[in-house]
Amino acid sequence: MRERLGRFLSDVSGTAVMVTRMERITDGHSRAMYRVECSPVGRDGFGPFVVRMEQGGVFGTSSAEEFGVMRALAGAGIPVANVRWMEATGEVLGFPFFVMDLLTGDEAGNSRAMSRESAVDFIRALRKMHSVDAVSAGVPFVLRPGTPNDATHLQIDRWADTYRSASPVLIPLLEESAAWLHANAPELSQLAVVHGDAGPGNVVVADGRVVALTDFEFTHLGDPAEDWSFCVSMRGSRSMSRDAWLSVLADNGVVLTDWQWTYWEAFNLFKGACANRTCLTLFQSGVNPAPNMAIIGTTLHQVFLQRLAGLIEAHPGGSGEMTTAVSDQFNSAKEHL
Amino acid sequence: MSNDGADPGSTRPSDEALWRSVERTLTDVVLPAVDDAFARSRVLQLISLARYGATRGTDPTGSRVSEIRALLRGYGVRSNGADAASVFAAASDYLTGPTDDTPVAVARRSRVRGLLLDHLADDLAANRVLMNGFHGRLPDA
Repeated sequence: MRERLGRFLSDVSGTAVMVTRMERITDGHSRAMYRVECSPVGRDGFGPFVVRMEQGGVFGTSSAEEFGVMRALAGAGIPVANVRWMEATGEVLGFPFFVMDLLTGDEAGNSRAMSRESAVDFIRALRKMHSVDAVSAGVPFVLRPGTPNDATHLQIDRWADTYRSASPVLIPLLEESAAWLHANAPELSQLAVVHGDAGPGNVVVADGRVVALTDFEFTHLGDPAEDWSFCVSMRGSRSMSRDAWLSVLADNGVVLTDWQWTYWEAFNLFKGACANRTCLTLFQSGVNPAPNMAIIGTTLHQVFLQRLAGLIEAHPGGSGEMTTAVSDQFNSAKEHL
Repeated sequence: MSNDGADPGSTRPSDEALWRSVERTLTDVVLPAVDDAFARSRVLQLISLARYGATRGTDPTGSRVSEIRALLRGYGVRSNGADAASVFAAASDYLTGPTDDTPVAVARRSRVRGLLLDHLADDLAANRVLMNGFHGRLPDA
């Protein structure tokens, strides 16, 4: 693998390169991440890099789109790792991958730890990204809604198609959820660049400041509320309490209605349940036999689906307060995320 | 889990014994010898898979499909066939079809949902050991 990567880096950089160290970075289910050190010939400052490689179609996302979006966002002044080269064929290492500069922070990229000071800067960075004009910045999204109001429906269909293409049978509770999400989608006046997996663990921080937002595989055009909900109810739940997140968000100009929080939590659970289902198919087919694929494709998919079904049961008409029983069930299930 | 090898006259070890061997060897021999964080994470996931393989029981899909089909038939809903794809498609249509808010219709939809949620809860109970592996813990932690 080192030799093949070295040949690729030599070809794309025009510099004779030897990969002297290649170490898999722990975690990362949809992308294998490798820290790569090189020994360049006749060129200083070459690396270290991170190789971010697909895993056979996990979550149905594309690293080519991710690469293009990251490059465009960096050009628009958003803190993003500098992406260098894309290998889209899968012929070099078995799966498509791209190479980006290694960034280091004092809160490791895979850690869910985040101080309030870091959270404030993270919120600023995410708001700045949400305000990027994707068209003028040339952000190459594959899915482009005709109008802002089409964006959420397009994403619901995207994720439903992702699970349907992976599952030999329809999953009635997911089908019901898709219909509920379509029927209750909030109106959207302006499209934003949405990260899709925003929060602690997907940001590199040093000295309380955001060095880079990371892991853009779920990025798309849509409603920024999706990101805030994902951060509070999913990624951020182990960093700060919900109340603490709502407080720091409000202090920094992000305020959502109770209904927005509910809707976007349901949307994100739906997205997760659909995406996670792809892992079982990859495991079953042998395309990706790693044990985490079996776990994500079964248990994690089911945890998301159970929480989603509970939310919809509590809001059958699309609004209203969650029942105490369902609220208790969520709090219990959240411990498993 | 199959009962392969359960016959006292069989010379084949049972699936349960095979999975137990995998789990114990990974736990007692392999895991203590692995320092790399990523490799340890994978070993712990494999241990949870081995425990799951030994304890998950028979696949309930067939009986669940029959149960859902019978419930739908009781409500006058016919699936195109008795196979899982047809029955789950019929259940999906039933839950996403035109809304009928009469008390009978609401109660019937609730019953179909309830059955699906019961199946989901049963799956989660059987899969609980996998979550420990996912979080880097041993099955009984």
